[in-house]
Amino acid sequence: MKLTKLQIKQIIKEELEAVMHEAEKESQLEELNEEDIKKELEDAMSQPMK
Amino acid sequence: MNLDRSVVPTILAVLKLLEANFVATQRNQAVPYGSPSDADFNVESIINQLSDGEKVALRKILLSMILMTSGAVHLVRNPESYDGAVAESLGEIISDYAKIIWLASGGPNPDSYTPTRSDYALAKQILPFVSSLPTDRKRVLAILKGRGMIGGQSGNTQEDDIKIADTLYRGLNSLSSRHLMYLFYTNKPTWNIQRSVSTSKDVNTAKAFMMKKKPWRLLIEINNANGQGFHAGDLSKYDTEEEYILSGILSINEIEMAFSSKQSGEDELLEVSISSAGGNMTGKIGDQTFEGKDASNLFLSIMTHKSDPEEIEQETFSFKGKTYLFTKHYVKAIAKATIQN
Repeated sequence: MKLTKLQIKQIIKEELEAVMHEAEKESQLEELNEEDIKKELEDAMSQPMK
Repeated sequence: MNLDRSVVPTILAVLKLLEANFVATQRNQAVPYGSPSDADFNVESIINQLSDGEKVALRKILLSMILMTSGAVHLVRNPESYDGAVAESLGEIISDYAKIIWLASGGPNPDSYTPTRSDYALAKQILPFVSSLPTDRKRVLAILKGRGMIGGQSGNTQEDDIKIADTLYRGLNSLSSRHLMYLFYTNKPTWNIQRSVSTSKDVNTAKAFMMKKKPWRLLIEINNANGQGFHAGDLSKYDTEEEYILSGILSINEIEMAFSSKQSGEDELLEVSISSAGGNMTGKIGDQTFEGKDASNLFLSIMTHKSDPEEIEQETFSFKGKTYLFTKHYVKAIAKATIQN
């Protein structure tokens, strides 16, 4: 199947977008210190439900 | 621990029986939910069957639960901040129902007793253990039948009156994107609640608390097959009906968030959802479904959304070259969990 220029452009755009999101995700995940987050979640749950 | 652990299952079963008797008594009264001091729910005949050591344990557990549910949770968490000069007497926080049990088990007059720092410290120490013990119907009935406490003198009480919560709910608000990212991206995340936390059998109580403050908000539905959790609803004067104090480790089996959205410039409402279970993420926008990396990117776009306080639909996220509008306030997230000791 031969792709049109427009289709190729769209695929490249989507791939780039995916790569950018992946890079962003990686940087976000690096900031996710699991132990810190677990501690914060414990604290959040400690409040009385009133 | 200044509590005989071996008697705790019996004490929990007895408290459930007293609660069941109270419910049965209320049901048989012409005017339900009257003052429990007018009702005979067999409290003395049941408590008199306990040994002195069991009565001591009963008072410790009762007092700890009252302190936990009476609005001074911060003192249970941190007894060092206790200030005797402003402490309330037990009479100011105990319910009429719990007062009868307290007195029958040999406790001093609540009006002339002010809980001490040691009481709060004991509560902090014993509640994690007490609220993690399995108290499913089978265990409770076995203990009560073994002691001859059910079926005879407690003729009004039916087995169904014994309250066991199969499902408990907990609402949370003000969570950050980091918290949700941890919960969505981690395969079977765990959540330590061994400090003993407040949950409810009533989903609306959890939802109301969840809505009290800003997003992100999360409702946790806890499958409580072993009947863990101490029903503290009737013990303090505060409005804590259906409150269960629960302790243990939560395993989050699946988590989902959903909301309505519109593509920028379009009027059609699209339902957007992201779910994660066992490390697999699925995303949906309208009738389109996304798996794997696409679903992950959709979730990440939502987590890193942009906000414009001037707009009604204040938040926007981009996905596959399109911009979507939504309102963070209306995002619903629910996690399904199980509890372990």
